[in-house]
Order: sequence, then C-alpha cells, then structure tokens
Amino acid sequence: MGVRSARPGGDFSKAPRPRGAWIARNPAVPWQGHACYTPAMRKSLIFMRNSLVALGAIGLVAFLVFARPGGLSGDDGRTRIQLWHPWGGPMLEAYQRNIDAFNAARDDVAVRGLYVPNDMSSNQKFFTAVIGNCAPDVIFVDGPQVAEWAERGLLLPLDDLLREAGYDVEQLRSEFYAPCWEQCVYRGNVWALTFCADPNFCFFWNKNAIRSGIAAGDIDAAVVDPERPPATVAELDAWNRAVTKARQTSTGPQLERLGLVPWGVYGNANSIFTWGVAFGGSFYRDDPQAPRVTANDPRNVAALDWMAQYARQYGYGRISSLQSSFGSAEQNPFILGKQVIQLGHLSMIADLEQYAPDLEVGMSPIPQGPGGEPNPAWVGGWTLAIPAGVTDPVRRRAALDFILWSCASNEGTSLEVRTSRNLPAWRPSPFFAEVRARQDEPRMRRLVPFLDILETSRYQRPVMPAQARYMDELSRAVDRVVRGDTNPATGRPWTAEEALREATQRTQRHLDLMLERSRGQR
Amino acid sequence: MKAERELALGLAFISPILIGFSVFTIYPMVASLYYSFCSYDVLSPPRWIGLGNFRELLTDPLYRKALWNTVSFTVFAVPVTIVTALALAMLLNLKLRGQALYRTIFFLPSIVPIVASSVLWLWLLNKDYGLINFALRPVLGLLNTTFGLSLEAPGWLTSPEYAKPALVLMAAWGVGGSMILYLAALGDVPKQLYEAADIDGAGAWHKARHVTLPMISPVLFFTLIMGLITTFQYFAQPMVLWPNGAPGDSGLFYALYLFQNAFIYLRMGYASAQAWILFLVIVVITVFVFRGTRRFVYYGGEA
Repeated sequence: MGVRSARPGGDFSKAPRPRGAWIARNPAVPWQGHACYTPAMRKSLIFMRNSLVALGAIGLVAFLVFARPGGLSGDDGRTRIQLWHPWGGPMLEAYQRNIDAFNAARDDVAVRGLYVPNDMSSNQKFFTAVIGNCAPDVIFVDGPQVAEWAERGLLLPLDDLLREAGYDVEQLRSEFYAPCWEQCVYRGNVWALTFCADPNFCFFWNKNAIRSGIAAGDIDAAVVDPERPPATVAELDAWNRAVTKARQTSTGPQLERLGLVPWGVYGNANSIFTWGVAFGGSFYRDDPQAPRVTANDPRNVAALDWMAQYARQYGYGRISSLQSSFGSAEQNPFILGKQVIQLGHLSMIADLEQYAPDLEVGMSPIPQGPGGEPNPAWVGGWTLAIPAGVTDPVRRRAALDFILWSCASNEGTSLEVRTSRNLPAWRPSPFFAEVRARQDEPRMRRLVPFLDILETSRYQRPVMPAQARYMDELSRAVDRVVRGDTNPATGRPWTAEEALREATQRTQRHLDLMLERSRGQR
Repeated sequence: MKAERELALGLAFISPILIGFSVFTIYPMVASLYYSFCSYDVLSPPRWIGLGNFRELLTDPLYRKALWNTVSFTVFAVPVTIVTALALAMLLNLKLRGQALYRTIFFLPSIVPIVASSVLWLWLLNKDYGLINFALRPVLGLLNTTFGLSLEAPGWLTSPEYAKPALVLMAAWGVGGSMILYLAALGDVPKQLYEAADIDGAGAWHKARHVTLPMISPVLFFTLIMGLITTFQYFAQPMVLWPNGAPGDSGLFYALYLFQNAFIYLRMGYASAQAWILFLVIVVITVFVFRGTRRFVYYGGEA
C-alpha cells in the first residue's frame, strides 16, 4: 500500500536518502533528480536493483557449485565418444544401463549418452549439428530414415569400417532378420545396424468383450468364434459386421462397439502401408536410374477401396467420434472393450500387462487380403549409425564397437530386452532361446507371434529418401478417401485411385528434386 | 573531440542491440530473401533457380489451401476476438464488488501456455464426451423436437467444416491480453466527457458509441493490427490439436505448411519464398488497414 501514501509533488529533498540510493544521485539531471521520485518509487527502484543483484549472485554461486568440467576429455586415457539417443522419460534410466554396461566392459572407451530425440519431423538438431561440425559420434536413426540420411550425406557407410574391424559383412547380414538388415542397405552400402526390431503388427482381439457380447445376444456366435480368428480380410469383414453395435440417441445413432477400424492402425500412413502389403501391393520400385514411387499400385488401390468401404458402411464421423473419446494406456478403447479388434504393436503386450492383466486376448497374424500372402506383417525399428564428419579413426572404431555391442552381441542384446523391452534384430541373441524356454509366462507366450513375424517377414518400409513426404502424402490420400472429400478436379468424392495417384505424383516429384540435388552436388 | 567520444560511447552502449539486430534479424531476412530464389536443402550450398520457387507456389494446391485456411480464419478470428475482448472489458469495467476477482478470472486463460490450453480444448471439443457438446446437445434436441430437424452435435475436431469455428472459439477464450489493454484504455477515458454527455441527455448506447469508442480507438487499432499479424502467423494450436494433420487439411495453416517445407522436407528455399510472400501480404494488409481506418482513429494528442 506504499504507493497510495505517496503524495506527488511533495518536497522530498529533505527526506533522508536511503543508503546506496544511486538512482537519485544527480540533482542536476532533471529526470534523475529527487523531485521526480516519490519515496515509494525510489523504494521500489532500489528493491528492483537489489533483487537483480541478489539474483545474479545466486546464479553465479549456483554456476560455481553445479558446473563441472564436462566435455569429452578425460585423463584416464579412454576414448570418449558421444551418443544421441531417443530414449527419454522413464526410458532414459533404463537405456542408460545399456551405456553403463558397455562402459564397464571396456576400459579404453567411454560412451556418454545424451537424450536428443529425432523422428521423421524433428531431425533439425542433428542436421544442424552435422553442418556445424559438432555431430555426435553415434546416433540412433529411425529405420525408414536411414536411406534419406545416407542420400543426404549425413552418415558414414559402415562396410569398410566393419571389414577393417575384422567382420565379414555377408556373415553379419545372415545373422540379422532380413527386413532389419535391408532397411539399412541403400545404394549398395550398409549405413546402420538395427538396434531393435519392430514387428508391425499382430491381430489382437478382446475375448472377454466378445464373449460377453455373445452372452448378451448382440454378437452372432455363428459368425464370431472367439477361439478362431479371421484368416482373411473377407472373414474380418464378417467379424466387423457382427461386433459393431450402435445406440439411438436424440441426436442420431452413436456407436458403442466397433470391430477393427482399418485406418486406425497407428495413423493413416501406417494403415495404408499395412493393408497395402496385406493386399499384395508394393510402394516403391528401386531402380537406381529412375526410382519409382508406386503408391497407386492397383493392389494398394484395392486396399484403400476396402478401407473406404468400411468408412461408408459404419459412418466415418461416428467412428472417429467414438475413437476420439479414448486415449492411450488404460483409456485404450481396446482394453475398455469399445473396439474389440485391433492391429497391435509390440508395446500392446506391456500395456495389457500393466492396465488389464486379467483381460483375455487372442493374438494371430494380420488377415490375408485378396492378392496378398499369409501373415503380411512388416518390420521397422531403430538403428544405430555413425554420422558423417567423424573422421578420427580411433573414435570411428570406438563408435563401431559400441554399435556392434548394442546390436549384435550376446550381452548387449540381452540387456536391451531387459531394460527397454525391445526385441533384438540379431538372430543369435540368447534372448530368443529364452523366450521359447519360458513359455509358461504369459508375457513370453504373447511374444511368440511377434517373433514369428521376425522369422518370416520380408517387408520393411520402402528403403528410399523422401520417406517423411511419402508418409504425409499417403496419410492425406487416406484421409481424403475415407472421409469422402470432394475432389476439386472432378467435383465428385475422391476415389482411391485418384488420391493415391496424386500421392504418387507429389512424392515422386519431391524424390526427383532431392535426388537431382544430391546427385548434382557430387 | 568530446562529441566523437560520446558517439563512440553511445554506440558501445547500444552495441548489444545493434549486433543482435544485425545478426539475428537483418542477416536472416536478407539470407532468406536470397534463398527464396534458390533450391536450398540446408545441408548443401544453395543453387540459384530464379523464380522457380515462386512459380511452383502458384501451382501448389496445398499452398493455396494453406493460404485460404489462414485468410479465412483471420477474417473470422480477428473481429470475433476484438469484439469478445471489448465486451468483456466493458463488463469488467463496471464498478461491482469483486471486480478485481472477475478481471483475474477472465485474464487467467492468457497465462495458460498454448500447448496446455490446446490439450484442454482437445477434451472440451470432443464430439461425444466434450463439455461444449454436452451443453449444446439439449439445445439441439429441443430444436430437433420443436422444428422436426435432425441436427447433430458437431465433431469440432473431426470434421473439416468445424475445425475453424473450433479454433475461433479457442481464440475467443484466450483474449485476456487485449482485454487488459482495453481495460486500461477504458480507465483512461476522461470522466468529463461522460458528464458532458449526461448533461446532453445521452443514453448508455450513445455514450459508448460517441465517447468510449472514439477515445479508445487507438488501442482498438493497435490490437487490430497486432491481431492480424499474429493470426497470419498462427501455428501452435493446430500443431497441437492435429499432430498428424487435420481432416481434409483444414488445419493446414500458412506457417504450418511453411514449417513443414523448411524443416521436415528440407526445402528451405521454397519455404523462404513462402515466408516472403507472407511478409508482403502482411505489409500490404497493414498499409491497407492503416489507410482505411485513419478516419476512425482519434488521437487525443493530435491538434
């Protein structure tokens, strides 16, 4: 309330000057003179100044107390290398145990891990680090990104380094699951090794929800047998028809229970890619002279047509409003029995264990589409690579050793599973024998269908640059078709063929521009 | 001699802003102008392609969509937020008990971080379980039964037609900043003018129209210009609401598409061209607004 008591215009020149009040030191300069400041103003100015000084002092002390000489120099003779990894949050500590184990096993190398996430849409930090010549020595790269980063000259090819280190590249190749190796090979070179294999996806169904639906008489037991999953897309359609349930409200029908929403497979882009493969489609033809984007392969078109058919049948708006009412974890509509069928990622196992330990679920391969093969799952996953610009051979070697230890050693791959619950991409890992030996545990049993995918799958995302653009365009095409948007060119709703053709053209253009640029530079 | 020393000293004192402005504003602007005529992927040196980027912009349907989204959103959002903020400020200017409390409550939304408030709105705007539709449904039900209509609660975030109204609603909720400016301006209108108007027999409406509005017109003008500029650069909310893209590209705003081109597709030259067009659009609109509203803005300090 000090401000109120001040009387502007009063004579304050006789007031005792507060100690250290330099603000009011010079009476010759009018705006610094005593007369301009009421005691209250002066007080608050002094308070502000003192606060600043105090803050500065605290900052300095904190800096001196907490700042430690960091950096990569050590006096213990170890080669210190830096690793950027994407494992943050609760995963950070778990992943750090991998780094610690490597450091404990080696007395000549020390890895320092830093959480610097990157994905298709946030790799700016890494790019600027490479240009600025301060890239790390090892980096995690999302599998589908490897080709683009290689094409843009951001990574070192590993072939010669592997050979120099005494590895037989062909031998190593045979030890990795095929898609995990293939996603790292671009233009004849190996650019990375796969750290964790992501088998995408398994077909999950909620047995409890289906059984109670049958008991309540709103699911036809003649169509849906909770012990016998659909093997083909046609059988899946029958399941979907049988399990979908709607309720009338004053503002129209509202869906209460759904089957498998075809575009609900971890986003539009993953959905069309997964169903495209299930229908036998291909997305890219890797011709070194003229690589072709083939999103509009007739089988992909058939897959998108099928997805759109589902949207028309049950109403896109109703489906999406049901879906948007739920989230992840315990809010997962699958766990709540609102969406009784789902294509699930490996992480479903941990989610089920944590949020619905008593839920009975069935697991089987993705149903086979017309024109496709049985179990049409594909494999992705994080890889480890060495950024371009790591020129010191000692550091290169240290980086390569860390990569090999992480991705292709008994100790590294076993630890990986225990700390972060990822699956190794390396066949000889002792973990796989362990899974088969511990089939009495539900978690281990549920892993088997995913391991089957690793054994049999021949598919990964197309190994090509422009992947981020491709996924965006695929996502747009799915959105247009399943929602029934109007194509401005024809005045009618987008057909699957039109939408995928446009996705093809736009991605192809982007790809050509990028290749022309990077080839022109060489 | 002394003057020179003083000049040098003065320059030394303002050197932080001089250096900062040159390095972080002038240089990037000039560089982006150059890049807008280049094919540039950040990782390798730029290559001059003349007007190639601008020509491509003319034929890029996504660019047109983004431009259209931004312009149409601005046309709705800016007036709605100004009117909402002004109405709120006038209400909160009434001498009531608990005035400070009400002012605080209505200002609070603007100190909520954008990401946090967007996540909140994600829930409020949910079609089946959101509070907005919860309030709307009885009204729609009544309309349906009385007039035999079949209105449905809108899928605010799931249908392209409602995406922009939803964003306008969000913008109207966060008007605390301009509301505070209006409150300050309202408090600054001289009492004598109202007294004079009372003596002349003016009612509440006439006082608002002929005293209040002219007196706060500089602040209205300021918020209009700032509102236009920030709305043209609208970015964070659609990014949070639709991380994987909005239905029918309805959430693809200018700045968002620019960001995608620059940092995801690494087409920095193309993005620079977009940035410069945005800059020119904002300059033209600002000049236009300046000219067009000159007659309506009253500065007490002018003769």
